[in-house]
Amino acid sequence: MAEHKILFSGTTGAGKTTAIGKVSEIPPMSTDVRNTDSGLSKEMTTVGMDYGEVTLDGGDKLRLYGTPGQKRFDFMWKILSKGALGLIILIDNRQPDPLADLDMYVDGFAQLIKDTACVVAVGRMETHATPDLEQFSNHLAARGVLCPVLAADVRDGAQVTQLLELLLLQLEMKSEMS
Amino acid sequence: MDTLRTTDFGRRTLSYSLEGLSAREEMLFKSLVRLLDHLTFQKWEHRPASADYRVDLLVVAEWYPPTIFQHAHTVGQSILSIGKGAERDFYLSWPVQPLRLQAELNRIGSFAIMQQRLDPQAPTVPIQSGIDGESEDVFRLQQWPPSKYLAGVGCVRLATLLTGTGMTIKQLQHRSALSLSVCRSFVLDLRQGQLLTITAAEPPTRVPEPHQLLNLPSSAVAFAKPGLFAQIRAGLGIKSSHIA
Repeated sequence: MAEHKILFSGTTGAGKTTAIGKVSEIPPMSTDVRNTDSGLSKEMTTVGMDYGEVTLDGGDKLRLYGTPGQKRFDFMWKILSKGALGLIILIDNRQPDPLADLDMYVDGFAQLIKDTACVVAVGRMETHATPDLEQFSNHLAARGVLCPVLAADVRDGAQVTQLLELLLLQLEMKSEMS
Repeated sequence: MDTLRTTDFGRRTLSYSLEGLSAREEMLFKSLVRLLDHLTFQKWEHRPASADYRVDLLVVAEWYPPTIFQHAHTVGQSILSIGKGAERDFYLSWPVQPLRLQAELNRIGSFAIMQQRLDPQAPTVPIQSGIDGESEDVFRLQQWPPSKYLAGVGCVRLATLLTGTGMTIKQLQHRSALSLSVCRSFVLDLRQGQLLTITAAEPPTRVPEPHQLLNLPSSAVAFAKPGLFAQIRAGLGIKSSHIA
């Protein structure tokens, strides 16, 4: 039985746990603990990782990992990146500097993005419209990163599936080139 | 078409007629077009339906018979279908979303101009280069496009396909499962927005250079077994023809 993995990373509170829960066939396993960071307006936060899975034909497993969002856990990012098929970055536009948040994940997963594929999903744009998608796109282009940039509400399973589909489209093209 | 002309600001004026819509729907559609006038690449003018002249765009209710599409194709006219479940090259659903309408008008306008070979802003690359299905030019995105280019059905998927090493129009059609005209007008829009790099296709039998072999990714993607991505799609409940 082969195993494949896709990572969800991004800002704390952007919805990594929610996104995985929308597509996983098992209830997502989280390592959430009570939040003691007064800067975060949420009761629980993920300090380790989230995990969900989807069984493929033949018994193979697609494993979905949500990385911890905080920079201090970046050692986990490298561990989880090994052998991953691709990355979905979730940005919370309510945060003070979403473009700086994006930079942190683009830097932290630079090798994975270069070797595989990436999709950037920006949440909460309905209440926090700036930076807009074009600013994210321009920012990524200035850094030499070309990938889909979409507004997304990960509470909607169809939107999570769309993010994964766009990741798969890129992976197929890369795979054919290699 | 007798209505095609250039405005003072270099925008082309195109004409459209409405057929099969209720009076209320006609009024709504026309007011939306007027509202979007400052946002569309071309200026759209309504002309009453008449057999005496041919408009650039015929806007019809989805129940219109298929023969009208055959006729329109013959005379080089675009048709925009409107309905609940219409799935044609150019279509919208009620209620019409302004952003969608803007995108469709831009696509249809680009398509009409391409057909007429009258684009005044034909850039460095000749207008006919790379926008017909026979072209071997390879298109690649320079950066992810602004939202106004992505409102049409399938456009996010098309843009994603253009993030790779590049595709010809035919490859884009094959991979997206969208019609050739949709792919062509999408590429034309992006090119007008200066969002594409265009290169000539390499011969298909080209042997990789040694440095290219050395640069192959050492990631899991490089070792993905055949059919893996189709398996993942199936596992996620995504149909292969899914339009993002």
